[in-house]
Amino acid sequence: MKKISTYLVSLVVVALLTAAYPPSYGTGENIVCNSKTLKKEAISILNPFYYSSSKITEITYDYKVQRKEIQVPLFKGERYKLVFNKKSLPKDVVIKIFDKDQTNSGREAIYSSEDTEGDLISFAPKKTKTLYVNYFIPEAKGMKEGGCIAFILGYQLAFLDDKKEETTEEETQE
Amino acid sequence: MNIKIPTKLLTLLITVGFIYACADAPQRTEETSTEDSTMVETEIMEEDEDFSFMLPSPIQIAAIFNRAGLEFQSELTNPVSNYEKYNTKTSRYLNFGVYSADLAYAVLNDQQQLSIDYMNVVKKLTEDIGMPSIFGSGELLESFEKNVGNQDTILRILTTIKRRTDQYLEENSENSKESVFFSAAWVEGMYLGANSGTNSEKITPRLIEQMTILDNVIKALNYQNDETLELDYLINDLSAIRDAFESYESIKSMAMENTELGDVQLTDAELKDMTSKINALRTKIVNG
Repeated sequence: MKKISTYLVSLVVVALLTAAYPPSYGTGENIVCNSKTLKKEAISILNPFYYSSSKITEITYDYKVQRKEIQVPLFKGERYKLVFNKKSLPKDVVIKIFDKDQTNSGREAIYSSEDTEGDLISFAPKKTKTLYVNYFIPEAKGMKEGGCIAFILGYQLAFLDDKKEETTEEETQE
Repeated sequence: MNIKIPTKLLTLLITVGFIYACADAPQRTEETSTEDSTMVETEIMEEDEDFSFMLPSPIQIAAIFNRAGLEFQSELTNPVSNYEKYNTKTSRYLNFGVYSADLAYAVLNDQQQLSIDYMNVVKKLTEDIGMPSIFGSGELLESFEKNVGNQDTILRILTTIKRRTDQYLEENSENSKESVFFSAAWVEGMYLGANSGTNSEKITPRLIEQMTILDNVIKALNYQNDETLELDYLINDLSAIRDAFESYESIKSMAMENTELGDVQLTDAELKDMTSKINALRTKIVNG
């Protein structure tokens, strides 16, 4: 009886310890992400666009497909470049850019990374209006996995180009 | 040692222990077992620590107004001497945003001495706030002063400051504070645009365009989690500006007629109302 009691007490202790430290799968705590390096690499292909802002999104693969959406305001008449660095992802995440948010059933994808190879990808929209970047995260296959995506938004100062053109025209006339 | 534990209690403890142990394990669901991410019923995961909205660069906002023909008026910017007033954490954070917008405004209008003055006050505020690493060992300021006549180089330096600020906030898990800097810079940009006296036909559409991001700015401010920052008045005033804007007949009719926002003009009374609300908030911010 004493042995059984000891065994059962040990079992309870193990069970309670497991309860105190639930599986970290999907919680993001195992994600190793060097955001500085990821951003630096993405910024390296931004030129001649200026850095505007950045976003690091942590990705944790779950037992179901997930989608994360980022709203990106773009202003009329300006030129932009969106750069994504997926190097820190153990499994590919499809990036799609939509003209409307996920509540609009009639929205259209104006960009998809599905046919693009490589981890460093960029997109320069022709029309400037608010865009919605979506990350489609595939389901996990039983392993603890996570990573992150760096997103850099660049803009071009159109008035500087206008000034340069004016200067060139003046020089030509002289 | 003789341990006496009733068998029923032990059974109960084991059951409870295992229930808790299994509670947080991920559950496999049938409806999401397909490979094709585009075909399945997907869901947006709520991001607890990551507000899913990109705030634009204050430099870019200044550039947009500049391109629309905003004329420079030195008396509109926040005087450098006001720096002495900013002795609280909140006033320092907010006026870091205000001075950043003024710095961009001065640079874009080729106001060289004023640009240097604002650059210095921005540097002092980064130190007060506790972000001295943004300016490094001083090479950024030195380069700024050396190249002050070269607008392209100067703008690159300003974007470097923005990039380093973002990096600092991220490394210190303070991303949400970006909204505090940005909101004040946004108010200053709107103040400069609304009070410039420049041809309102060109400026007003740009002001209206900026109003489209206000709702997200307010959300971001509500989300920021530093309780030592006193932001209630800022959130309340920005909400009042948004609500007033949405109630203007010009804006309501735009929504009904499905007109592009860039083609809308506010009436003089609406523009005056919006300007007075922005001015009142801006006064509160710069008064510290």
